[in-house]
Amino acid sequence: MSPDELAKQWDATTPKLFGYLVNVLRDKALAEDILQSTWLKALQALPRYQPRNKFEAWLFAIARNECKQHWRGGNREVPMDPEAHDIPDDRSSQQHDSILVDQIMAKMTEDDRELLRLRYIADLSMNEIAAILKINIIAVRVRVHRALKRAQHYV
Amino acid sequence: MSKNIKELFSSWGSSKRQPPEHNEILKNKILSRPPLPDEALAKAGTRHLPWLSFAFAGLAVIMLFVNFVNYEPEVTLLSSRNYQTGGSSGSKIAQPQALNESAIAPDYYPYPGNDVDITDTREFLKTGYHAAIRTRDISDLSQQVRNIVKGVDGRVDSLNISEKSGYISFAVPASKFDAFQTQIKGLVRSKFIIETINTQNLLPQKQSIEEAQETISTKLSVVRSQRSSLTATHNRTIANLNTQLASAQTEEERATIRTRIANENSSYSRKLSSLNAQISEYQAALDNTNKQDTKLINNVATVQGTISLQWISVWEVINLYAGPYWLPIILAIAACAAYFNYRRSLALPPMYSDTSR
Repeated sequence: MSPDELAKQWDATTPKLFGYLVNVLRDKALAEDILQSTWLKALQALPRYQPRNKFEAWLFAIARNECKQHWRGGNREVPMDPEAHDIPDDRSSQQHDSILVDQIMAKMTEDDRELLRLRYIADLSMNEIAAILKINIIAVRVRVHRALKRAQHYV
Repeated sequence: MSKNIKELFSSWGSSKRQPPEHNEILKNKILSRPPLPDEALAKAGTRHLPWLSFAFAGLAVIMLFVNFVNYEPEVTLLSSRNYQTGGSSGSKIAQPQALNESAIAPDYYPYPGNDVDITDTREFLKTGYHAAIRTRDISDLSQQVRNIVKGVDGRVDSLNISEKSGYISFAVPASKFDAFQTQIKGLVRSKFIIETINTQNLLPQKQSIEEAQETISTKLSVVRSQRSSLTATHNRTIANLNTQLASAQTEEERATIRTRIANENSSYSRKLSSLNAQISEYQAALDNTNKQDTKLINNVATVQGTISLQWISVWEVINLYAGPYWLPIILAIAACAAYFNYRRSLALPPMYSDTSR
């Protein structure tokens, strides 16, 4: 992959990846660190990257493992503090939606949250989510559908 | 709620997508890094080999070799028990080579001897039946076999049952043999049974008996006719001599005639007893031949046979279904599965693969 292609990938993927990491880690500084380490490891492992797999999905898989490595080191997930750490949103209706969804997400299980993050923040396809979570695409569809149903219930 | 849940989440998701605060600095810092061959990269360069796949493949080859060396044609089923039909000797039976080579023996049919008249189309076939059945439950199967034998009006001649094997000899009417055979075959799946049917053509024996009967009857009637003729001649001679005796003038003539009468009686008695002896002899021979005929017909009307039961282990059941090479095949499949799993794991670097779930 050429430097230009990498730059394009950065521009296309980083907002999603950073948004995902902030939502997972609830800490912007930590999310930045993990973002850096994710990219560095991706660049190091680039010779082993197989083009038949989508780069974005591959990057998210690395990011998820970086998060797990971080938690394994004794750092636990911190409670959500949107005002201090989350990305501000100045559009009022969208801000309202965002707060509502954050409240819904807080009530959901971690598995559901992860699925919805990958689906709506990372904007990954069902196929890519299936590859990352190493489950069947049908299972992904069903689980996303059920997670949305539960979310609907909380609304 | 104006938006549906999907739109709500889509809107939420897009609102969360923001670059980090120092995006450009981070981008330049990270992407401008030369791709150093650090330790991780060096490790990445030396690709792990699919050892698991190699191990399975190696085992598969070893098992294949072991099986190839040890393989014997399967039919331990009853290779050693070759059913022989009883019956008279003289006819030639085509013996399948397979029986002597522990292979599954097909049905075979009598090979008529040269002395059998082709125009005689009657059937006198003596059938012998032997079945070797492998089962997991010897006692239950033996009970079923006995029920079948009794169900076709047959008899169980001997029974020898143990936990691992059983042996039943029986006789059933030839007229119900087909029904009997169908029921026996229905007891187990075809892989677990080997049947051997021997048939012996007894037509030459039947023809021989009939020929003997005819010869003896002819001789008997000839002797009886000789006996009748002898008696008639004797009676005539005696009557003639008595007439001569009545008309004799002198004592000397009468004495001569009396002597002739005595000679005639003596000769007649000797000849009569000889003929009677012959008649008795032929009658006895005819009775004996008739008995042989009845015996032959009864023999043909009965099918005698044996059924061997042998216990089969699960391992042997698998062998029967999957052949001798099932283990190498499973190992080969495992090797392929391990290799595909290895290939799949290459899609993500191993160090990043999910190990927490």
